[in-house]
Amino acid sequence: MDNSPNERKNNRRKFLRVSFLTGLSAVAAKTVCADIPVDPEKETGEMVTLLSPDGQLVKVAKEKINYMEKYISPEASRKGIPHRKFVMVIDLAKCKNARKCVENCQKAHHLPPHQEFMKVYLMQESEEAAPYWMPKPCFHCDKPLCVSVCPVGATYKRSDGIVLIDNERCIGCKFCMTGCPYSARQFNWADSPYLHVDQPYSPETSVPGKEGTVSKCDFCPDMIRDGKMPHCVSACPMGVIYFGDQLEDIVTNGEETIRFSELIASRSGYRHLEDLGTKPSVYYLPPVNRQFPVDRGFDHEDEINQRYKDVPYVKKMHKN
Amino acid sequence: MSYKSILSRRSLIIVLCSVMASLQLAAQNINSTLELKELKASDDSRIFGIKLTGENESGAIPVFQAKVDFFTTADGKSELLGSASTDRDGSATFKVEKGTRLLKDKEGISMVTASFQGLGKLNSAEANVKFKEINLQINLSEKDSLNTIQLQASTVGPNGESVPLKETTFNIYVQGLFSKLKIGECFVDAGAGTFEFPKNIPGDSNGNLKIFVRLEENEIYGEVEKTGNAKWGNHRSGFVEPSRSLWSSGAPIWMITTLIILLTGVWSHYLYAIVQLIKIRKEGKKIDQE
Amino acid sequence: MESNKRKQELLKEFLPQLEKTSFLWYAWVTFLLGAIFLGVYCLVLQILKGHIITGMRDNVVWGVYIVNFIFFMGISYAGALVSGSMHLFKTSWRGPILRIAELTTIIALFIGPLYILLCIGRLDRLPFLFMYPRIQSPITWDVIAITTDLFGCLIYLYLSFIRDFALLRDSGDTSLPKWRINIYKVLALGYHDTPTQKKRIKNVTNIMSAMIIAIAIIVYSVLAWIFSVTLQPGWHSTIFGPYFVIAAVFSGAGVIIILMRVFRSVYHLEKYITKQHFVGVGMILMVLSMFFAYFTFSEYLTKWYGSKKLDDNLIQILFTQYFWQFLFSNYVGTLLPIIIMGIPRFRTINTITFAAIVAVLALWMNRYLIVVPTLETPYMPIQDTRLEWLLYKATWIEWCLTFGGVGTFCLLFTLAAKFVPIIPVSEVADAELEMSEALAKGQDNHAATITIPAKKQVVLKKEANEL
Repeated sequence: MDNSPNERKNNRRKFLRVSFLTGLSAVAAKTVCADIPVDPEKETGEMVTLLSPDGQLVKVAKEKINYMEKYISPEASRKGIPHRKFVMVIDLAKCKNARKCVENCQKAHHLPPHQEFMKVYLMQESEEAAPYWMPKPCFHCDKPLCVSVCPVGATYKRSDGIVLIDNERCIGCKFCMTGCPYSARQFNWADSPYLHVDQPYSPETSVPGKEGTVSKCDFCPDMIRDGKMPHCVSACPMGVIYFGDQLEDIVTNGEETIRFSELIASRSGYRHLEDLGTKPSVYYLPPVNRQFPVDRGFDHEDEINQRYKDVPYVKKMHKN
Repeated sequence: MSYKSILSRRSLIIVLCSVMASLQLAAQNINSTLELKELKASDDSRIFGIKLTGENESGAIPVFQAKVDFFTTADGKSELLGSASTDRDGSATFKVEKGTRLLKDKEGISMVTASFQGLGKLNSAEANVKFKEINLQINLSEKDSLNTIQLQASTVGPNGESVPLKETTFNIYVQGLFSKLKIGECFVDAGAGTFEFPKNIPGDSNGNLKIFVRLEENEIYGEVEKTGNAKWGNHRSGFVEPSRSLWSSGAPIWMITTLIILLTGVWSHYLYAIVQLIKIRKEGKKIDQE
Repeated sequence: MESNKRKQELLKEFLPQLEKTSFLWYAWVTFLLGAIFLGVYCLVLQILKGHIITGMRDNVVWGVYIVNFIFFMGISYAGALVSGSMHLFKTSWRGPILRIAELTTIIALFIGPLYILLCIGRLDRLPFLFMYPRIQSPITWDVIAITTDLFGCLIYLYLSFIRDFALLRDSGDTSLPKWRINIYKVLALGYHDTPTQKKRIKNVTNIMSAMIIAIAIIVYSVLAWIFSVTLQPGWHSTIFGPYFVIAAVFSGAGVIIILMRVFRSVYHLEKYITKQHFVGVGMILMVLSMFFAYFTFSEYLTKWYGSKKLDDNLIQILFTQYFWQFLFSNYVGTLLPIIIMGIPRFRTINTITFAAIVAVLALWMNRYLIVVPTLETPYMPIQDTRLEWLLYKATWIEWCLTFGGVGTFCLLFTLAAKFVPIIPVSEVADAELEMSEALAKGQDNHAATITIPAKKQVVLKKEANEL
C-alpha cells in the first residue's frame, strides 16, 4: 500500500489541470465576468473556499442553481432525452477502489454515508479466481424486471434507456427491490436530514429523497441535459468509467473518447450476469493487464475495508 | 503516468510562478499560479483561457474576481489587448477577434502574455504563449460515393507572403454528446491534404455530423481548429420502446384478455348468486305480506 | 315437519351460547383487545418513525409481515377449499364443522391483506393502486384476486347463514335483545324455507362452492407468483403455484382442527364435533402433509443437485444457519401428522390436535424459510458491515403486530360465534334427516371424499361421547 495521501493528492491535481486544459475549446467565445455574491456570514448551505484577489481566504456560497429553469417534472421525466440510448462501460482493469465515484455520487444525490447508489464490490468468483474491484451502479436494463413488477408505474423505462423512479408515485411496496437481481435499489427506511433539501423534486435528480420510497442510481439525466457526464464518471481519477450514447457509438471517460463498439470488441466487454436476460445498459471490461494491484483498494478506513472480510482473498490475506 | 505525458506534450504552455516580492513578506504571501492556453477558433478568432490559483497548505485554491490583463508582446514592445475577470473556478477566457493586430517579431512569431498584478498578500503571476500565424481552410465533398475532407493550409512568410504549410499532421474529430471522437489524422504537405471520411460513423438522429479539423499542441502554430457540418452519418434508429411489454405502461394484449376472461367468468357467477338472493327476498316479502 | 322441529330443538340447545356471556368470555375478549391495542400502538410507531424500527433492511426487504400475509391468506384459502369441496362432494359428516371452516375463510381473508399493508412504505398512497394500476404487476393481480375472493367468500358465507338467520328470527321465545332479532330479520331476507327458496339456496350454494374452490386455487397461485416471477434463486420456481396451494390447505386444515378442538371444549360440542370429524379432517391433513412433503422435497432436491452457485448458497444457509428451523418445518411438521394419522392407535382427538398445532407452526416456519434466507443470499454479495443489513431479525414491533393479527383473528372468531351458532343448525338437522332416511333404507351414504360407513359413525359418536 504505497499509495500515500500525497501521491493521491498529486494525481488529483494533475487530473483537474488536464480537465481544465482540454476543456478550453468548448468554451464559448465570450468573456466571463462573474458577479459573485460574497456572504461570509451565511454558513448554511454549501460553501466553497476561494481566494479573493488580495489573497484573503473567503467562503462563498456555491453557485446558486436556478432549479426551476431546467426543472423536469415527474411527468416530463417519463419521456427520455430524444434519439439517445445511454450506455456505461466500466473498465475493471483500471479500478482500484478509490471510491471517488461513490463519494461524489453521494454528495450530488444528498445520500447519507451508508447509502450508495454506486457501490464498489470486491469480487472473486471462486477461491482460485482473481479478485477485482467492481463498481456497480444501476444497470438500467432494457428488460427491467423492477419495472415489470411495479404495481403503480412508479418506476419506468424511458426511450433513452434510463430507468427512473418517481418517488411521488412510489407506494414503497419494495417489490422492485426483490425483482432486481443486482441489489441496485435502496429503501428510505427513515426520515433523515438528508431527505430535506431545498430544491424541487425531480426523478431526474432523485433529490430530495422521500421516506418510505425506493431510490437508486439514475444515470444523472439532469447532468446529461446540461451536456455534462454523470457524477461518478467525472469523479473517477483513474478514468475507469466511460459513458455515452450507444446510438452515436461514442463513449468517454472525460479523458479519452472512444467508439463504444470498438471498445467492447477490442477489450471483450461483457455484461454482468448476462444469462439472466435483463439486458443491462452497463458493460464491463474484464480486469486483465491491470494498472493496480488489488491491494491498493484497501486504502480506506476500517469500516470500508471490513466490508470485504468474507471475500476468500481477504480471508487468506488475514491468515498470512 | 499518462497525465505526465499529456502535460509534457503541452510545451506551449509556459507556467511562470511569480517571484517573491521580498523576504520579510515571504512568510505571509501566497504564491499564485497562472496557466494559459490559446486556440485559434473556426471563425479565425483567437481564444485565450487562463486559470489562476493560489497555493496554500491545503493545495491550490482558485482565485476569483481577479483581473487578468492580456498583452501582445514582440521585440520588447508590449500592447494591452484587454482584460478578463476570473470566475469561481479561477478561470477566465479572453477572445481576440479576427483581424486584431498582434505584434510579431521578425520570424513572424507573436507572443501573448497574461498577467495578474498581484494584490495584498497574493503575489503576481504571469504566463505567455507563442504562436505563428496559420491559415486553414477545409472543404467537405462527396465524390464517387466517397466522403472526403480537403485541407488547405498556409502560413506567412518573412515578407508577409503566403507560404504553403509543410509536413504537418492534423487530427480529425466528430462531435459526440460529451466530447469529440478522434476518427483519424490527415497529413498536410505542400499546403494540402485529403482525408477519406469513414462511412460507419453514426452521427445524430438525422445522420448529421459536426466535424473538427484540428492542429494540436503544435510547437510553432499552437492550437488551430476548423469545423464543418456534413450529413455523412449512418445513424441507426433509436431505442424503440415496445408498445405492449411487461415493462411498458401498456400491458400485453394476452394479459388483458386473460384477465377479462377470468374476471367475467367469476363475477358473472357472483351476479347470478345475487340475483337469486334478490328472488328469494321477493318471495319472502310476498309470504310476509300474506 | 320433522326437520323443522329438529332445527328448533337444536337451536334451543345453542341459543344459550348466543344469549349469555360469562365473565371468562369478557376476560378473554379484554385480553385479545389488549393484544390488538399493542399491535395498533406498534403500527402507529411504525408509521411515525418509519420502517427503520422493523428488522427489514435493503436486502431482506420483506420479513415476518409477508410471512404472516402468506400464512393468513393460506388459512383463508384452505377454509374455502375445505368447506367448498365438502359441500360440493356432499361429505356426510361436514355439517358441524362447515361453519368453522367458512368463518376461518372470511376472517383470515380480512387479516391477511393487513399484513401486506404493513410492508408498504407509504400507506397514504394506497389509492394509487387503483388510480395508476399496472396489470403487469403481480401485486395488481393480487389486489384484484383478493377483492374477488373476498366478495365470493362473503356471498358463500352469507348463503350458508341465511337459513340460520331465519331460524333465529323465528325462534320467538329467546332472551336476545330486540335489535339483534331485527338484524337477523333483515339478514334472513324473508327466507321461509319454501320449496322454491330451498331449491334456490341449494342451487346457488352449489355453484358458489365450486367457484370458491376455483378462486382459492387461482388466488393463492397468484400470491405464489409474487415470489416466483422474480429472479431470486429460492423463489423463481415453476412449482410455486401448486406448492403454495397445497401448503395453504395443509396449514388451513390444521387451523380448522385446532378451532374444532377449542369450540368443542368451550361450547361443549362433544355431541356434534366428534372424533369422526377430527379423523376426517386429520385425514385431509395427512394427505396434504404428504403432498406438501413431496413438493418441498422436489423443490430442494433439484436445487441441491443443480449445484448452481446461488442455489447452493441457499441450500448451505438452510442447512447451517437455519438447520433447526428447516428440520422442524420440513421434517417434523410433515412427518408428525403422517405418523399420528397413519397409525390408527395414535389417533385421538388430542393427538390429532397436537399434530395440527405442530403442522401450523411448521408451515409458518416454512414460509419464513422461503422468504428470509432467499433474500439473505442475493446475486450480488452483501458487502456491508452493519449487522442488521447482513441478517434479518424481526424486532418486537413486528412480533407485536404478528400477535395483534392473531389476536384479531381470535377476536373476530369469538364475536362471530356470539352472533351465530358455531354449528350450522339447519345444515346439521338436514344432514341428520338424510342420514336417518339412509339408515332406514339401509343404503350407503352418498359418494363422498372420505366415506365412513353409517354404522361406524354411530360407534364413533359413542366413543366421542365417552371422551
